[in-house]
Amino acid sequence: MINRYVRFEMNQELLGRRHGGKATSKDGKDGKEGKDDISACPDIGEWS
Amino acid sequence: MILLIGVKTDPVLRYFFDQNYVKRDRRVLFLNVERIGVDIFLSDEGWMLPTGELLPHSAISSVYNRLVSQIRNPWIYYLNWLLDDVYPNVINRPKDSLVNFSKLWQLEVARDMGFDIPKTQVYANFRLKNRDDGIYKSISSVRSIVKRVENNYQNLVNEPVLFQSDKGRHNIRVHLLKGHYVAQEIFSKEVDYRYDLNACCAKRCDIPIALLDKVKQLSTKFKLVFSGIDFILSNGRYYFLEINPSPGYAYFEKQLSGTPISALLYKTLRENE
Repeated sequence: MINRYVRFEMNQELLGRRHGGKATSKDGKDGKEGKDDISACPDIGEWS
Repeated sequence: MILLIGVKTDPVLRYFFDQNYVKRDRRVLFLNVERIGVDIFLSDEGWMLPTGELLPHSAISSVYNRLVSQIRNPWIYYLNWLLDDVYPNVINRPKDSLVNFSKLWQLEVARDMGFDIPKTQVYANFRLKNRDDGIYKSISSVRSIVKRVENNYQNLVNEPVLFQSDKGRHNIRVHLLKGHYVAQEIFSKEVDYRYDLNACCAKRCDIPIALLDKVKQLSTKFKLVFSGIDFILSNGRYYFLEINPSPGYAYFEKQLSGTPISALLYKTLRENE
């Protein structure tokens, strides 16, 4: 078992202020899937 | 120790850790991959933590892997190897998450296992002659918004694009974790319910036993401990769309009473203790 203060400090990052920023989708706001970035891709209206 | 690996801004990891039974567990440790090489270091022996304390690799009993961002650095390559070949009970191993790189491959495997598949075509360097009533989306794991073909006035397709017949808006999402499942249905007006802010809540639902058996087989085939599988239900048939190896389950679970998926995930992570 590691030092509890180290564990607390490292885990604290996940308990910090909620991530801000404008979400572009429900999934982009609440969780991404797959091997890509957390933010949703912009809608550029093309075949991509 | 149970490692949660990812970045601090990952809403799924935050949501999971926010469950009381997770954050109160002294065996749970969050490793922010953005700190690797800064004040957290990796060696053959283990993790060198910010205070200089060593956490040996042999002390890791389970890992919830949320390494979904493409971070290119030698430490991450090494970490991927640890997750693939060294650590026990990893949900999910990076090599198995590669299943997300080709929707076509997923569809082919699913079809061979007996799933219903929407009519699917891929075009590249092609000029569309007829605008049918189907939908289009990315062929790979790169996020794209699913849209109807008739709403896109660009006729020339350059990079490969996946076109499918439109099977409606009755979406079924199944989260499968070690044989246990939670299924939810979402009705939307938009083609892509993730971008439909007026989509009705994701209610829990049942799925046929025969479909569940096939979902389990598919997940086993891809060696995924935890997966999120998308279907469209149309005229009594469940059309397979894709299987996600890093499911953003938080959005779905927030619309349920209790935390059945988080609880299953936590239980699975503790199995190796």
